[in-house]
Amino acid sequence: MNNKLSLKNINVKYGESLALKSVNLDIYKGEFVVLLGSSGAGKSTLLRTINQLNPLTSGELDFFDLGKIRNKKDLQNLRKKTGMIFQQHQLIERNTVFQNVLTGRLGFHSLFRSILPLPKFDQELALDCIDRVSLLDKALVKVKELSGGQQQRVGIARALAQNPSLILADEPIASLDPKTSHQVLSMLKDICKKDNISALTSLHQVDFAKEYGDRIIGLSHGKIVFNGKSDQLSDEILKNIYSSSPITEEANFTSNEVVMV
Amino acid sequence: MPIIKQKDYKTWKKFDRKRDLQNWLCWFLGTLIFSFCFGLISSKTIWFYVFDSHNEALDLLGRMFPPETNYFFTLIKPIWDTLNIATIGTTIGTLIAIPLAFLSANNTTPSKKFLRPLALFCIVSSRSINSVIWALLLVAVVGPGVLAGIIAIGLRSIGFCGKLLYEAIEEIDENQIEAIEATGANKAQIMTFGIVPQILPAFTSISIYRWDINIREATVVGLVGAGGIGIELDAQIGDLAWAKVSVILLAIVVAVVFSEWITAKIRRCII
Repeated sequence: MNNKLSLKNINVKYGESLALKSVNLDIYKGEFVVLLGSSGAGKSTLLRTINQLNPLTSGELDFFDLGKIRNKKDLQNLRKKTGMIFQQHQLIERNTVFQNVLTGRLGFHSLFRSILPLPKFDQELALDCIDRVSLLDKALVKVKELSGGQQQRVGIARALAQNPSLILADEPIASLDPKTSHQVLSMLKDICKKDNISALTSLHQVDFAKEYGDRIIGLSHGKIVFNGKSDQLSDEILKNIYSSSPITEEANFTSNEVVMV
Repeated sequence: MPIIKQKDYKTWKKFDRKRDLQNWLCWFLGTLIFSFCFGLISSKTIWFYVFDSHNEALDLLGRMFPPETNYFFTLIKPIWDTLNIATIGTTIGTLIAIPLAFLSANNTTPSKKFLRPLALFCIVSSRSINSVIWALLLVAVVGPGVLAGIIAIGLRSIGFCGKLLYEAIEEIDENQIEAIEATGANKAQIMTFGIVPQILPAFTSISIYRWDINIREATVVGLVGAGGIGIELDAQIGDLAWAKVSVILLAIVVAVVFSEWITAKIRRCII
């Protein structure tokens, strides 16, 4: 039994620039890990490399029971067991909440089976997930008619419907107000704890990270610069994480003088 | 913008001298070509007929009036044929357009080098030939009648629906697709559950719109023998039976208004 996800020596290149530099990381079963770093530090890249929405340039993934990810079949299985929550929720807006949550079950069926209404088991599981994010009364409402917080909860329900071992959340609260952010994050954490799901969540708010994270990872310029408990996160370390973001380094604007004739 | 200094004040002109000269030359050449063409056309026109045309038109209207209202009942069958040509033709056309659109869209085509140009070629060739010309060819191939009309309308619809549909596919939100990909769905599932729901509204409005157009086109393909009310129109114009022609024209107007009403209803229900 393998009870952790291991990233070993992961490198990701975009063209010539290295987005991730030899990242080594273990995430244990049921652990709620928060990822901090300035914009452009590689947080999204790291998350998306785990389910390989971004291909990795070199390195190795060792995923819980699946073991090493070697081929397409392994990857498909990894994605099946990995729920993803996006900043802009990325739901099919025209479809109902129920239909959206059911897409979490697609990986478990063949195309022909999934064109027919999915089995009772999947439907009940989906409804159960919707209930857990307290949206059962909205199950047949179109997603575009919901508020931002509700949409993000549908996103959680979709991830949950996969019965995942791991949930990846890419800035899930970036477009929500503070109160809704607390709601969404605590809901996500409660669910993960109850179901023993590991989670890797990238955040921009340090206080949220300290409050919710079992462990915090600090990423800067594609390198892990901090990996520890939230009480170890001193001002010194924070400074290091957020020091000289690549964007401000590259920004080199010269204001052109505009001359009116 | 040149600024001209006078003795004690500055003023400006929109263009400098060279640009002014160029503009003047363009206008001069344009006027010259226009007058030349006007003269050429005028010399080949028999102005006597043109100036007399209002009398001719009034005369024609006089013969059309009063319309032979009884004749309307013999038109019910041809109008029914026309509606069928439009409906079945649109159905066939859109059904063929769907796979072609997926092959042509940049983000769904399986091969950019071979299949995409092929599918685009089918769409373009279908679009560039008018349905009357398709009908002319088909009357020669499958013989006169409703079948030729249906195929002609279908062939023309492929290009129209295919083009609009593949543009709709290219404009979908890739982020929603990505989320489905992340759940472990395979390629075919991503297509059915990620792309199809996004293009469904476009698809329905495109096919309803094309049906609306096809009702009009179906009245015309009959003129070359491809079934429907056009055959009747052609025959009555040939007989100079203007009182009947006016009834046919009225029937066409009624059919078009009817289709307009139906499409408005359907559109409101679906979208």
